[in-house]
Amino acid sequence: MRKRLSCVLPLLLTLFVASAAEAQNRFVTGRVFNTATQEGAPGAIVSMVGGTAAAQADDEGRFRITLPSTDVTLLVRSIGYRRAEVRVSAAQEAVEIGLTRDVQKLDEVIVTGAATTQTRQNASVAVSTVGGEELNRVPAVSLDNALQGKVVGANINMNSGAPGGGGQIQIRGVTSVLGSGEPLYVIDGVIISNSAFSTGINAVSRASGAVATSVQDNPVNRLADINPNDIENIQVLKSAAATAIYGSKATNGVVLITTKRGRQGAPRFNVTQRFGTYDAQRLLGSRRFNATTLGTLSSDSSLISQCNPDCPYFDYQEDLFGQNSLSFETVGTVSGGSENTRYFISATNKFDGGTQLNSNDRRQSLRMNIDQGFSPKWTASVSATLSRSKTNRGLSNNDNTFISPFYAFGYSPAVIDLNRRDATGAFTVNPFLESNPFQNLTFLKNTEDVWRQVASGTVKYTPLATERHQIQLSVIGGYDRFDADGQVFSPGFLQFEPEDGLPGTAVQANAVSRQFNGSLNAVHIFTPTQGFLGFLSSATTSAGLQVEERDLNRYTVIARGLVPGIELINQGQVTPAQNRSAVREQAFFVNEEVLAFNERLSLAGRIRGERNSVQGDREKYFYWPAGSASYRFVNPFPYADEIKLRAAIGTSGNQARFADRDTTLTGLGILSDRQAVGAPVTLGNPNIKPEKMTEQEYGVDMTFAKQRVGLEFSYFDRTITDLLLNAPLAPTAGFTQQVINGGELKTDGIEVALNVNPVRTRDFNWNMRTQYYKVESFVESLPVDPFVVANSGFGAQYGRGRIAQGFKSTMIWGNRTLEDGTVVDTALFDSAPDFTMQFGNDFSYKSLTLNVLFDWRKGGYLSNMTQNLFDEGANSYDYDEASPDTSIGATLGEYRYNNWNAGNNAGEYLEDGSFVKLREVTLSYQLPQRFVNAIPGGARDLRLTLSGRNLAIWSDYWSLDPEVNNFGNQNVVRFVDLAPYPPTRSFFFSVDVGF
Amino acid sequence: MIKHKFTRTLTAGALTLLAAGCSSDRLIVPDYQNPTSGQISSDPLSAIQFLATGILRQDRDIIGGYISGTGILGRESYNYTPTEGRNHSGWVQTVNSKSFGGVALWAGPYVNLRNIFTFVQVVEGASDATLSAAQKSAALGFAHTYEAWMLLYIINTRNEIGAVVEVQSDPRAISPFVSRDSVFNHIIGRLDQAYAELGTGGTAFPFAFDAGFTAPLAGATGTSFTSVANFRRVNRALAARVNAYRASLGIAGCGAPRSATCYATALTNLSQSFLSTTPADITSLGVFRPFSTAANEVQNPLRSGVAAIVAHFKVDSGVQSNGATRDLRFTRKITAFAGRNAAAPTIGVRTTFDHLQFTGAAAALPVLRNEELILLRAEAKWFTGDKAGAIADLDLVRTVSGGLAPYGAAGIAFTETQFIDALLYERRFSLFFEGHRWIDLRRFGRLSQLPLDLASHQIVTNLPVPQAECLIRGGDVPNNGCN
Repeated sequence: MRKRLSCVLPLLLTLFVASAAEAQNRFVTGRVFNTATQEGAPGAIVSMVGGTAAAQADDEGRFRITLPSTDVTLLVRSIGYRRAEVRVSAAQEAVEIGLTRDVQKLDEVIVTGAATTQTRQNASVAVSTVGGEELNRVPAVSLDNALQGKVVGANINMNSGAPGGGGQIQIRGVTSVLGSGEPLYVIDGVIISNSAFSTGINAVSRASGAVATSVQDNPVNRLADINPNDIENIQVLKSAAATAIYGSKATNGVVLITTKRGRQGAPRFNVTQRFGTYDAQRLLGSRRFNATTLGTLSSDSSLISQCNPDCPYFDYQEDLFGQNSLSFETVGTVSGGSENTRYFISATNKFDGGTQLNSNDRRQSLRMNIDQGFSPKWTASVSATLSRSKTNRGLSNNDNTFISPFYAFGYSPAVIDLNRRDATGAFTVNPFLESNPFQNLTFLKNTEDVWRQVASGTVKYTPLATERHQIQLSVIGGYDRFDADGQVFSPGFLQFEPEDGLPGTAVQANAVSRQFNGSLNAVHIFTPTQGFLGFLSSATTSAGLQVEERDLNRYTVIARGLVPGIELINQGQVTPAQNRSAVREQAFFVNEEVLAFNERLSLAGRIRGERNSVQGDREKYFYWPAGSASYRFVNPFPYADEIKLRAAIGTSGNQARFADRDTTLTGLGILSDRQAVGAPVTLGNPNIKPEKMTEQEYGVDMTFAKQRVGLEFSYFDRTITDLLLNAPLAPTAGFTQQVINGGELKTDGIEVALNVNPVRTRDFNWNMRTQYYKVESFVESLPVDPFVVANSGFGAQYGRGRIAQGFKSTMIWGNRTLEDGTVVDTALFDSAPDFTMQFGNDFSYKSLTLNVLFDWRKGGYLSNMTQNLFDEGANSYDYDEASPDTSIGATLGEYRYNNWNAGNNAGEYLEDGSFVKLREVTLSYQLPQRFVNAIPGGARDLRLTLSGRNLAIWSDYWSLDPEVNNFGNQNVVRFVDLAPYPPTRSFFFSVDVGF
Repeated sequence: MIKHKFTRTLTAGALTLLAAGCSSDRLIVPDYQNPTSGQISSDPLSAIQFLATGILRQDRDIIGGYISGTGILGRESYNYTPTEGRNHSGWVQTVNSKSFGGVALWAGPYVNLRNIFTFVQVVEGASDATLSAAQKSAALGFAHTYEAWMLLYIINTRNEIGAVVEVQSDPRAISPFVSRDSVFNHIIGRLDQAYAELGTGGTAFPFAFDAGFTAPLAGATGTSFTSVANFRRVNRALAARVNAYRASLGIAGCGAPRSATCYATALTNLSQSFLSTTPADITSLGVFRPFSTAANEVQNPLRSGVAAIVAHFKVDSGVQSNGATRDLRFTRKITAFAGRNAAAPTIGVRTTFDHLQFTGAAAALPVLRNEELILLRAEAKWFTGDKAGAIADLDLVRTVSGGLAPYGAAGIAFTETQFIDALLYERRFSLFFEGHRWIDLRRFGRLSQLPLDLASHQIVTNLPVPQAECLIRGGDVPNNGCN
């Protein structure tokens, strides 16, 4: 404790240094308005250039500001408008300020450091932002879901259609094999956890053996706890030049989430009520049998005798996945504030019904954001949220006990009604295998209950503010804490349960995560107005210290052989497990941003020095430098408003994993009541260091025809060295592997965003956005033999990822039979898409708006093991169609299975996952004021919205949906389709009322 | 004034930055899961207990897979996992360095050689005050017996490919492959060394054994193998097995296959082992590996009723009867299969038999039983010329364990082939599903007697060397071991 104080105290002291004398004051009132409509611009921020005075416009755009009694310049900013500066003379008492729409988002505020921002126009790196309105048009199961199709330079994929979400954001390709593959998520300055924890269902499914938890358990990554309704905007930092200040956690990009805050004015109360439903986007059905075909699978005469000659058919999938239960969401917000105190409070209650029997998700969250000004020099703000996510996750994915419905359906000809209970309530016994999915889902419990608190606070002090110099000191700190309570209960009477001789299984799987980060920041803004530095528009220097702590404690207990009727773990044979980790980090950083030549030239340089507890030498600082530059050519030729050329180079890292550095023995468990200790599988490495990425980025941003056309183009080229790798050791040496640094990955790609505003009249506006993203990742050099990527697939028979020098890291490797009959393990297809494109169209006509978003993925192969299951069970829906080669198989299904040849020809079940999805459609109508006024209680506005997500898919893919992964979030590749929870489409009707 | 304050502020800020990073003490976080060797060795006596339990635990974790794997190869069992056909096909259909069978039964024993290496280091490094010379000697005798045992598991499955016998301190050092004969001779050398060490090892080990060595698991008569003297008899029992293998295979130094030299040594070994002809001891006395349902323990992976492991569908071929009832060993160990044959599509074969041998999650698995010792003695006696003694031992097992009629004088008149037939029959049912059948048929050159379930199946003489080992050696493994 004393040690921490010793590093915090000096900076705290600096906060109390100096206090400038107050000048004489006067009041100025004014109004900010939209020059096109003459309507007021609510929420506009009015601030004095070279001073601390600031005010916020109310709902009519009116403001009142305290200014010194001299000539001053006011800067006016409002989201969605270009900023404006006006001169206010010493004698002036009122001012009118007109703003124009910022179609190309040039004046959007971009976060560049812990305490610094700049406008998008001056940014010298590529930045993607998504506004709250764009994010929340269509209800989503989770934040990753809401972001799909909206960020150029990121591949965002959901893992399944299960309620509660679960999805992955991969920014700019593959950056690591063993390190983290997840972006860093920062919400209001707090670094939050996006870990995913299994409920413990593996103890029942045994997908990964008899242990409690597995990556195959379709867990929810905890980004899902963030309530999209609270989000003001999301900024995605992709370039290493921008993320360098996050050091060794930044190779995968940084997602900065800013929540809504109150603004000055009367309290505003807003209620949104949504109703809707989820529906399986596509179900497969299964083979129709007749007496002959069934006879080859079963010798059960009671089954065959009911075929005449066609056997009855029961639509298992529709019965199990056709729940269409009512989903709803209620969001209430209150916001407002006085000149010194502003608040935003929101509460959400949400229920998503799953398509699978007895699966659903409930979310509740409460947020409070408060900003308090004490004096023009001192301000403080607090953000706090409490959320709860309770998910009944259902059953899906790989399994070895047939509890995963699609797995069981694959081998169960649908000729007997499994969804029937006899007079005693007992379900039909599945004659084909020891499991009845309807029984399982009626009685089996697989839930996760997460309570989470995220809170942050900022204290800002401005000791000096003159026209030339401004100094800000701030302390920013926050924590993220949650406990995830996973519970599984499988009663002993289920048909699959007696298999292990211990009927009844219960699992209690808990994870407690605690993260803290805090920083001390000093910012100096220098604005020379004349003199030899007069060419400088501004120079912003910031520096700071940061500390971070991340603690995770996971413990699971499996109990088998339960007393009937009891679902507690203390009444069975128990297997406990615990996993704890802690990471500590210390860093300092310096950040310099210079604008010169009338803000045409923008230069930025930054460096972070960091050391942490997971690197081999804990005393050593690693440095992450970056630099970027851009130049704007204003009106370079007719119709061109502006052309900006930019270039950036930066470095960032990826930390070693907990205990990679430690060479230890390991506990082997118990034998006859004694603890056993022996050699570990993986040998640690006391010299381990972070992975290092160096990225170059070049881009051009252009606007034409008075901002009607905007084009952004970026090319990036990333080199990742010092990769964390498992160097295999000879098994005869008694170890499997050792962690080392080495090798090189290369990733390059392009991002294009075209924004066109073809029609812009007073009544009608049409905005069109097209995005294109292509990325390729290669293994440039590898100091170890080619190796299989963990959790990438099920062996050479089905295809899996492999890291091999000279190949793309995203290739699917598997068996191929050569002409001479030999079987080779070779690179077959690429799991990464050739490119992705999005087309968004936003129309507004008077009070009507229509938004349509299409998402196109071209290429990207999957291992279609769901198809393999159905073919192996001779039960696929197209099994009896004509065979392309009857010498291999008599029917289509038999042909595929035989041609696969027990995995000697893995390509048979690798399939192109190209698709076009109608991601989002929203039709919204703002009711005329006279109707609204009739609503009792003094409503201000009322909006009705019809919306839908994933309404249509165009794809030749055979199975449910190409956008799934059995292994959840993965660093390198994600392409295994194995009995997933079917992806969904959703339909919602919403009412928004503002008071 | 303002300028002055500005300078002061800047200076304070700069000083703070210089003090950046605070104390690195904050960065010291231990590995919560795993002990360091330093933490372990602070008390050598307790370290020796932890590491000895580690050796025994690793050994215990090998045995289930060893019995079921060699059981598949010797057509005693199926792995019937319905969702993973490769658990079976990887052993009998497509067998190579990458198949489920090819990668199995290799790393486990070598991990244990590393554990033994660490154990020996701690024992040798302990001061005389902590560990007396006798205690050290006993501990080393234990370690070297186990080293031999681990290598026997390896060479039993890799056979003519040979194996690696040396563990080096540097985990990156690659030890050479040596021939099958060298491995066998290394094993017997280690066993003899251990025998000598145990001879000077006093009475008690400086650590406790697991329940597999203590009564009642170790035998109905209550023999416990945890004293140095009794563990020495386990060492000799193992040496008898190894010498019988060496003799039947004609390992260098033993003469032609089935010649008397090493069989004679085996007889000496047996006389120093725990062999007992007391009828009550015949089937129950021996060394077992214990399982348990307790937390962080392992449950018997081969227990009856567990879906995956079932008996081979021709397991009843050639089973003898005494005229009224079938061989008691058959009825004791095998029952009808009650499952739903869900795996039939994956494996292509349906079985009608299941194992009955290991009931319950806490049932122990046998690794070295008295019944085997008597049969080893029968074998050794026959090939050293004592045919009457050999048949007497065979008959003892036949009548007591199998309830069958003795061969008597007819047996003494057997030709060598007839004797081997008779011996292999007794071994097949006495040691059924204990990891012997495949190895016995191979050492008597009779693998071709194994049935093929499907035309696509094959009889495997030895498992290949796993891919992980091959890759690190650039495929440089003798005798086409990487195929």
